[in-house]
Amino acid sequence: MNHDDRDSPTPKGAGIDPREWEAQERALRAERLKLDAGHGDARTAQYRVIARALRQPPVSPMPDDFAAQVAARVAGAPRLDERVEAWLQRLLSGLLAVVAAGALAMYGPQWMPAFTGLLPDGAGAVTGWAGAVALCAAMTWGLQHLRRDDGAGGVPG
Amino acid sequence: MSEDRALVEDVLAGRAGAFERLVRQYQGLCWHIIDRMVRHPDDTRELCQEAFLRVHQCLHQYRFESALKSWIGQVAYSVAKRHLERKRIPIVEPVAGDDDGEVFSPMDTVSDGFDLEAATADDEMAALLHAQIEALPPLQRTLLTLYHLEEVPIVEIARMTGIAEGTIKSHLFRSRALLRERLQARMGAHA
Repeated sequence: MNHDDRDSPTPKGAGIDPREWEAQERALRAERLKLDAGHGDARTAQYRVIARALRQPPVSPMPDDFAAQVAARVAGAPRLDERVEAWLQRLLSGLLAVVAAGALAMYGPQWMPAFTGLLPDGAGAVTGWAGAVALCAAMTWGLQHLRRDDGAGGVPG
Repeated sequence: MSEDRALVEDVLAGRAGAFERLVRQYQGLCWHIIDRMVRHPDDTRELCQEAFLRVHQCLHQYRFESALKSWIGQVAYSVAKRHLERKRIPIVEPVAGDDDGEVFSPMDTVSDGFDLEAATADDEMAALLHAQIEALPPLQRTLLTLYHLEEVPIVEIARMTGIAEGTIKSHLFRSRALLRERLQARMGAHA
């Protein structure tokens, strides 16, 4: 990004000495343009030492493969809209389960005679086992679903 | 700006290697901002990754109203700032003379005959300056880095940080004047 005088006109007020500000800006420009060391007065020269130090990058080294690391992490993370969709799906599934359980509790006793009437004799035990199998299948499916959603998360913020 | 647009569109379209290209282009800026703010290598790496993940998640919200560099710098700054706030580390310290309108100037102590080459060749002096830069509060360090190292204009720094231009200038002025005072004190000790 280019920098020129329009970016940093001498500020007024705020406890800033305009001459000092000008010296600081002259030093900054001189360092950027790599002007000869004899350029400017003693004050500007002192600020050039500071400007030179400030142009050196911080000491913490950035890993060489930083960009590849971040890209790999992003590839494994879902986008925001995908996460919202997953949460919405989970919420609606939960809501459906609650409503279904409520309906069963309220109307179950009325429905059961109609169902049991359809089954042959000795069907009571069969119904019990079928219910247990259905419950196990539902729990397995639910746990797998939850585990998959947790594994997909992991984006900070 | 058209390069920014092409890059953003490539990333949003999920083109292979596009996001890695974006990271490579702006990782220096992001790293410098966060490193200057938090001064901890492990935290810097983690927060820098977090900043780019957020960039990836929210890139569809970028409206090309400012340069992509400013937008990404803004994300990096907010990630680092939030980290310091969570750790209850103040990012700025009040500077003497802020309230009373006193004009801060070390001009009176200027001496002629300063040898720039000798000063920059002095390793001890360079080490002292770097130590003084590190000792500045996080915000001042970051503003100086953005302005001097990244060459970001003040108006863009204001966009990145949400700080008024006048306040940024005040911080820059005071920080540089303070560093010069310390430099002079060092030279006085040598004389």
